[in-house]
Amino acid sequence: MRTGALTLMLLLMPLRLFGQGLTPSVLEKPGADSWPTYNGDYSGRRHSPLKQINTSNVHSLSAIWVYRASNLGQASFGSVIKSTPLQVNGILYFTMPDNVWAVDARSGREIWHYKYQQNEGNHIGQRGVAMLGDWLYFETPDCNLISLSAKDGKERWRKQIADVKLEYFCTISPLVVGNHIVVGVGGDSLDNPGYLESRDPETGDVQWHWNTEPGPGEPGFDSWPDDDSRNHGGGMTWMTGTYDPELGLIYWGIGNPNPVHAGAGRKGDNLWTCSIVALHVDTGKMAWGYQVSPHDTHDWDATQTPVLFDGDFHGRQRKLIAQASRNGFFFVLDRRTGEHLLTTPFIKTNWTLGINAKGQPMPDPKKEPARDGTLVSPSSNGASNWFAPSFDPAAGLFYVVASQSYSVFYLTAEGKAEGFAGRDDFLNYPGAIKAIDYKTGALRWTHDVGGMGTGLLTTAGNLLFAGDHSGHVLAMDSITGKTLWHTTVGANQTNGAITFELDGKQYLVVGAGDSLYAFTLAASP
Amino acid sequence: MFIRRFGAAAGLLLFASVSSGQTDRAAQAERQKTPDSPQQKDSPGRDNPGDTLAALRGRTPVDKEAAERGRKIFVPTCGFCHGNDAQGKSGPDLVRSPLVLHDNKGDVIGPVIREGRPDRGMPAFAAFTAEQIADISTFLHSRAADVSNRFAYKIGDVITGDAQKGASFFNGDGHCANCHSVTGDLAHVASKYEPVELQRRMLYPAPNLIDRLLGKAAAPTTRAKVTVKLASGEQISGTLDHLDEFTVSLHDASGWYRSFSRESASVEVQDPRADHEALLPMYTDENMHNLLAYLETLK
Repeated sequence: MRTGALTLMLLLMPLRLFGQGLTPSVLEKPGADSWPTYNGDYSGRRHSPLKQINTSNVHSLSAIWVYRASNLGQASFGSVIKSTPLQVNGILYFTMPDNVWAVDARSGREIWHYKYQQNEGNHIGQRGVAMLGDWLYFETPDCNLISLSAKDGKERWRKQIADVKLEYFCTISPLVVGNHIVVGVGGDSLDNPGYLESRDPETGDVQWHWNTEPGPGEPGFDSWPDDDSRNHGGGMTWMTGTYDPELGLIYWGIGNPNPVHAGAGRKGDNLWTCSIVALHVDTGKMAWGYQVSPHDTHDWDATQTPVLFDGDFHGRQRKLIAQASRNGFFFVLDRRTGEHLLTTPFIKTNWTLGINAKGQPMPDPKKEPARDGTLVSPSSNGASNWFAPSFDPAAGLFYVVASQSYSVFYLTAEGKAEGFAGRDDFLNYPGAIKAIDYKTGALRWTHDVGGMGTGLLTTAGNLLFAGDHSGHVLAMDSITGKTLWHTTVGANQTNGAITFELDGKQYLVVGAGDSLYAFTLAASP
Repeated sequence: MFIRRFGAAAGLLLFASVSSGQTDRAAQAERQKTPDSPQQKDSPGRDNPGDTLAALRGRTPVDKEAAERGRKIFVPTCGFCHGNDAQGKSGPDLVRSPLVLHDNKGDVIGPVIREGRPDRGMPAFAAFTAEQIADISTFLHSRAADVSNRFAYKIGDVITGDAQKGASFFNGDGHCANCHSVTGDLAHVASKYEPVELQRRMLYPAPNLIDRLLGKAAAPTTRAKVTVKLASGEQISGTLDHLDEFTVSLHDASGWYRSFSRESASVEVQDPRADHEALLPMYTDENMHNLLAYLETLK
């Protein structure tokens, strides 16, 4: 009798199944025991409140496991971990092109491995899955959005999000907001228009579609000379955006215009390429846009993470958004309205005629690519690129991996300019981490890391984690830039590090080459 | 293995991230190579970066013979309206045409060619065989591949400067003559390099990473010299092998490899590339073109 009553009671209890915790409201305020989105949270700051690992004890940080990915199939072409793993309920989910893995965060043991079919998409990189409830969302090189069960890696459905035959390819970790899976696309080699879409989490069906190039009557329509240039204007959406739950706005960095290096056939600003745009997440309607590179001809897309934070700006508390853009300039805007607040260079560039009244760098026509070459800084790799920046709210510092690079830019197209229509001949590939004071744009410190290539992470332990280009993972004092700890891993770090707490221990997880490495403090604090 | 080389390899990684064709695989291969190893000369993609990239993407390289057969049919028959390069004239651009891009050996464009599009003024070409249409399709795909693969783009005539002014810059503001001599190290330099490569090396004397990854042969880079001073007062000089925040390594005069922790040593590097790097922000494009024109006289 008693047993029966207990059974009945258990049956009547609302069962909370393992793994069902990742609701939209949890995503708005994720705990430090998880890393449930590409940037850890919606702000894009990649800043953790954890401080078990801190400046006083980071010297005892030790590797506890290594997971080496294998059986990649065709992805051997892109076989480095560019993805930021998610960590939910003690399980890490990470990717390479065509591949998704679930790995035990405590032990590094593989739980499952999903492998996509061979395909002709560009396998340049894959930046991670997104998660909602028990489901993962994964973009393939040939632009299918795939929903997988987080439990066992079984495919639930797939939906095409772009046409690989037109040279689109897909790499990004989608952004999950409420019941929206926001997906972006890439591919700027054949003059396709860029767009963002929201997909239904249950079915993968389109909820809304936003085009980079404005339609008739929309702001920016006249920034193109004609329909042909507008319809082939590029502006890809290949990096994950950020989100402000209070404003209901998502923020996205938009890619470069096409044809990439030939501007003559697309005179005008070419909106909304090379812009930061704010869209209402429920409708895909544009709230505002700000173009950081009018009429770009150097492949300097503005896809770098637009980072959100609140703070004082010239005596007034503001909701801010900041980007260290590929063109070499650091921008701060008011994220309610898009009002421009600050533009400062974070490398020495040579391509502008100055800054206009709206805070935009004005391109010098003489520095556009030419038949016999123009010497320009930065190179098409940019002063910054996709490597995740970080923002420490307590320090008020924005961190970016910056490159004082130079290239000779050539125009090559004979006849009609299409595709890239030119190329740049890279000279040097330097890289340094820079700490930028968001209020003034002043550089607080610079730390040479020998090249540009890894994402950044800061923590409340006053630490900044990054990789250098000699195969080291570094922990620096985030206030001074001084190295406090380093170790060698099997390759240069290739993703942005993440951190979370499990069983009372703070973990650091880093991807380098084909392996994930996990670290904790050697002894309990 | 100077730090910049790592920077270069990683630069490719980053390059690979841009939203266009590029390879991480290549970056990995780069890490395994010595900078200018001779085996690179035998790499398959040496003469055709397009093939290398197609293979890396899991695509079959374009059948060049079929494409050429197709071109010979296309130009006299279709070129008048679509342009000999298929980029469009009175008729549509067929290079970035979704219809053409979805075609496989004529299965989509075949009916259009045979039946025409009378409503849009395109006549029917009923007489073409399936093989001829497949060749036209291959030609059009080869055109799309040409356009979408920037690494196969040919850079044009870059020698546009004034050689005399270039000589003045060489001996004057550029301070090139401090280290170089046109009758010594630079004698016949224009015979050694194609103009584009000479322009790059003149600005920054290192092989282009992309070219190297695509298997092009490259002349060696001048290695930096280094002197390490130990706490004991001992000094060791040699050719710099690697320098990072923690370690310096070199090959000494006897050819031995030696490495030192930077905690206990001070390091002085003499890298000829440092002077070139310092000059980069000083150039005007005019100076650059004039200097190249001058170096081009050194045949």
